[in-house]
Amino acid sequence: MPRNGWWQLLGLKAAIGSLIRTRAVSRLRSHFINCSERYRSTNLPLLAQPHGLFLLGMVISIALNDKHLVKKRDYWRRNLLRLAPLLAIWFLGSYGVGILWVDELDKIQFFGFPLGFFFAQQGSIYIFLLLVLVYIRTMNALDADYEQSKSDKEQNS
Amino acid sequence: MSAQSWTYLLVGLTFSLYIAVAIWARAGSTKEFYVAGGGVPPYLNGMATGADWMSAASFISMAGLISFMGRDGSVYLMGWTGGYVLLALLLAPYLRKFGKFTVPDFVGDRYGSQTARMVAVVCAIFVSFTYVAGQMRGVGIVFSRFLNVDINTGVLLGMAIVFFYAVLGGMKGITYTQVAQYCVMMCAFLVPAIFISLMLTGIAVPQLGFGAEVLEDGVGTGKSVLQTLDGLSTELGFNAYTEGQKSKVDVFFICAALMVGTAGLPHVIVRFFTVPSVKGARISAGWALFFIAILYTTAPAVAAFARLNLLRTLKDLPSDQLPGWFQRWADAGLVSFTDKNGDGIVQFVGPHSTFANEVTIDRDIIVLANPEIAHLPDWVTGLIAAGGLAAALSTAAGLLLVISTSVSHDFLKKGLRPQISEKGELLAARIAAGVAVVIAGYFGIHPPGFVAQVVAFAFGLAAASFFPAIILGIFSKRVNRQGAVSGMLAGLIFTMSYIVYFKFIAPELNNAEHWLFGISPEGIGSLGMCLNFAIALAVSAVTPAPSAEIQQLVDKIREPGPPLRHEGVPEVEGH
Repeated sequence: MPRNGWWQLLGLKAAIGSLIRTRAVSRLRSHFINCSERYRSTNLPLLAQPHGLFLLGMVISIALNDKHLVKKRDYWRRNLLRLAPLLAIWFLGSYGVGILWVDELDKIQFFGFPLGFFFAQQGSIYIFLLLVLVYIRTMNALDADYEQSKSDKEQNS
Repeated sequence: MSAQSWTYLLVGLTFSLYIAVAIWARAGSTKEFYVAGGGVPPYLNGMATGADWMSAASFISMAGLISFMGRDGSVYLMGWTGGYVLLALLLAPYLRKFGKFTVPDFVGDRYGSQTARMVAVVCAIFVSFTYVAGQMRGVGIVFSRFLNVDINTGVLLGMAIVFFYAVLGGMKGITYTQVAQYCVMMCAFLVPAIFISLMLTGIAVPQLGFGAEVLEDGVGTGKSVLQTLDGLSTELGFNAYTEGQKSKVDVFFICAALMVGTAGLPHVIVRFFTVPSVKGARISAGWALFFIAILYTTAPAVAAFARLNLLRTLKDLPSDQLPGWFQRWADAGLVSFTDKNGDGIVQFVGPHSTFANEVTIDRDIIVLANPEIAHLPDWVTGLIAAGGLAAALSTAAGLLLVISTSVSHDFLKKGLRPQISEKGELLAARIAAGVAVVIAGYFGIHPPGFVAQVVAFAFGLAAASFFPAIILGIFSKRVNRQGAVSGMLAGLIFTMSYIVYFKFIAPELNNAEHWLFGISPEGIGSLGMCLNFAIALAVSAVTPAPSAEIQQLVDKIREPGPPLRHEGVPEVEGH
């Protein structure tokens, strides 16, 4: 595969790379190596060993939330993850209900409007406003998280 | 007091307000001139963005357009508001983080290329000039119709006032006058809308009255505004108001071109450079959309109410009982009536009627004559004049600033004369703004025939050139100089030639049969944008990746924190 090929443009490499380089994963790896050396002699099953439990905990906590993924790259990845659904709603709320499915929706009456017509001339604008508000709140929270974890990190070191 | 004296009074008052604000907010440095010192509070910037954005077209023409197009007019509503979602989510925060003055600045630095910068400068100037000429014309029209001033005198007056606060105050002066202008134009738009909504439906909020039941002498008729309007329209041989006539493909592409164009217009983007932080840029985009949404949700209601009033007033009217406003606006050439079949009755009918239509109505009437059609007090007419002027002047000022910044900052400072001093650059910016005002005024007095046609295409061009270059510059580290320049040129040339072909070379072929994929010239900017994206990505894939410094720059733009500082950019403390 070429070094700078199309697949790189699609962000595949960046996505995989960012996953490998997250703090969580690197911490996990060093801990895993330490623990596994110490407990190698015992014949306990993996999940009964401290590093096994740690592994399980990590998997669960990654699955539940990604708050500890705080490096810059992860900030960007989380930002993109939050953008995607908002843009999807933006598309459906204007092009979807206001243009593509407008005739079908017009058969439904909504407070004196045919529903499709309502979305095209009123509803879509309210949806836009709501989206931007949600985005502002999400990003403020994300930024606060980032600042928090940065100051935590400074205190720890 | 007569409508005429009310108009003089209100226009005089608002003009003195703008001048007072301009004197208070003079610019002392290039940073104040270009981005108001970067210290405007987000909600005020939101208001200024609203005024900057809502032009004479939004204020005077949009409700009329919707009124005559029915559901097809929705593209303007969705297109001109949906762009702010893109702006807030994809552009404003990152461009603010980047921390410079102009869109060509970003394009030039991100792609490390003078060529890219110059392509962006030329696009910015072209888009802004076509747009500003329309605004000056709007100023002249408002003056001539409401104040009985000659159009040329009107344009000169408008030029003088814009000259005063744009040249003196730069972005700082413009921002605070735009805040004042926003308040004026909102009052002017909302007051008649509320009155008419009350009269037709008994509900004061036009957005709610839009879907409510029509009252006849204070008693409900059992039919909603839209049902009544649909009934009356079909009875008179028009298409039903809530049904669309344009093809879905075309509507889809026009809407996309307007949305993406909105997000790519340089005078809108530059407004987000004026707030103190990245967080401020996001919040400010939210406020801007809020302030714009007030007008954009009211406009379709006004459109429907006015249409209903118009059809009811003119239906089966004996021709000797034409209302007073009809006579007055007939003198101005905006409405006309000829009794073609000589039956002494007005036939204002659509294409499906058995009668011939005897009435022509300019769509601008819907807003301009609204107070008279609905029998509102005289001062409301004066308010409309002041609002129309506020809308046109605020947009003109924002555009002129983009032109002057492009010349003094992007051409001189970053191009021809990098050694120019801070003072010299400020002087150059003022001179450029002055010259731009004069050129815009000239086009306002002698409008080239193509202005009206071209203004709508400013969006297509912005969509096909800037938008992809900026988006890729932020969201891809791999897209390089070669990709961006070839993408911009391809998008621009494709869009421009399509428009020029159908509008100037072969206007007789301008119909759905000959259009590419059934897309009208109004919507072709979206296709140009796709082409731009595709070519930029393809060319980048086969050419080397951008340098390490540029990749670092992109990383910095993406991470949270205060805006980047650049060498040679004076920071104004304690603004």
